[in-house]
Amino acid sequence: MTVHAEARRRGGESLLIGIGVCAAMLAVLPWSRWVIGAAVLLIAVVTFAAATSVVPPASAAGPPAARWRHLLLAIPLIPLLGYALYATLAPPPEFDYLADWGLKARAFFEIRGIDWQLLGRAIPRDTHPDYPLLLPLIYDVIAVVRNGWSDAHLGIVHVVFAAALLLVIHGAAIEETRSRIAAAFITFALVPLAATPWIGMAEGPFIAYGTAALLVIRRGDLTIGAILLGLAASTKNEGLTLIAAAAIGLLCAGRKRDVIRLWPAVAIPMPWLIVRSLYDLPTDIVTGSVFDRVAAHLRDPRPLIAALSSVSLGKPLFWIALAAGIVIAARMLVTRERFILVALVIQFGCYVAAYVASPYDIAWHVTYSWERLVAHLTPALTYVVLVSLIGPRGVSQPAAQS
Amino acid sequence: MALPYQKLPGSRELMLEVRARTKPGDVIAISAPFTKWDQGYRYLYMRALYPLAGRVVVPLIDERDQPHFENLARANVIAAYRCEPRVPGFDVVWRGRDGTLLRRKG
Repeated sequence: MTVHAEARRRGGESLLIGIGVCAAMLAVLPWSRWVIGAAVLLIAVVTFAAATSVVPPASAAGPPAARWRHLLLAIPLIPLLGYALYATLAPPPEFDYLADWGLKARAFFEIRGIDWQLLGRAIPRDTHPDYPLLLPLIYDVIAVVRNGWSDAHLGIVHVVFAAALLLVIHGAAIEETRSRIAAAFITFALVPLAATPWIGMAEGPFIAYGTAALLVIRRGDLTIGAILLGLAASTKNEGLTLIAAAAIGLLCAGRKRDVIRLWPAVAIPMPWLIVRSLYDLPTDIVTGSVFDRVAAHLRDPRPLIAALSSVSLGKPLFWIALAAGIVIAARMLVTRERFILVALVIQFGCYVAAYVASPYDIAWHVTYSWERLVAHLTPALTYVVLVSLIGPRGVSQPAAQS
Repeated sequence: MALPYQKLPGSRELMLEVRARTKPGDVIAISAPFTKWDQGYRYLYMRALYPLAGRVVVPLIDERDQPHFENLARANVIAAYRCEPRVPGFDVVWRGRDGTLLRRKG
């Protein structure tokens, strides 16, 4: 069972890293259909080999009694198929796709390269020229291989990211609970959190990279976790604070020596950070008089509090259940899950701090981002709560105790 | 795909027509019967960028509602939503139900 669990987890990790490598190729290779197509094929083969390297040859014809257990996969697979229909029903309709992620991808494809002039003249509030380019480049990989731009089924990217994260979650859940039924239930419960409704935007890919990174680091695989963390930081700026949050989480969990092993997380987004600095691409949150804005918001926090309390996060039953789970498993969470909890709290604090420094109307800023920001944090939190509630009483301890 | 454009009916179709009648590198000014950025112009301008990718799309109003008619000097094309501006040096080259396309003479 552990071998299959590891294969599943590796499959998800390999898929996430493979997608990131595909996007990075466009920074170094010519945007030719044949060159990129061959490279994608090579990456797919390596990814598949990495994912299947842990499965013994005899496992394909396992005992009949064990085979039915694979049917349990249908439990999370059915809603995921529904998500695939939703995501590919129409081209991405979100404004942020048209004004940011999709616009960049399409403009880059037009010139078969990164359009620095477009980024230079972009309106920061809507096009965010400082945002990392992993997602637009993923869209461009598809366009280059297809040899033409089409957004008809681009939502499939989000389905793949959700599936990859769910593979990581399913593998980890099997390892920790030692129960396929429990793992299927946990994976099913996390489908709506991995399968985000914001098709075309970077939330889904960021949640996949960020959540997988935290779960992988939590269990002690620092190298893979740091790579995933670096890819999260290459997807959204929030990934940069997630690196710091993960490092503080490790420190608080008594894993000081592991902090330095997060270096790939810093190295991966570094080229983009250098280039965007050279091109002087503005970051809206730090433009103008940041200290004046922070002071003003701290002097009178009522507009921020009012805005945060007025935005509905939806899913009331989910939040009630999550809160109840946290209360029931509080002791185990505090003792076993210090890394994840501290990392999530720090990341949450960074989001609130961004609002405090916001140059925009606070009600507008909160209204159009709060639900998405909270969605970044809920999959990892939900996973550790469920594992704490269901898990077989410390059979597979996360590395937090090391 | 019309959903994100629904508050300005016909704007997507207009931009698709503009795309079909322009080429990469053209500088396109967006004209509309709006005088404020957040009261219509931003909605149209930001949504025009995607279908017109590859062209340089310039606004005639900024985020502070200041007019930027100097961008007309840069533009060789004007895409006008539900209006037909008379701009010296430009001729109407196409008329549709939801707007017009003007091109610099010569």
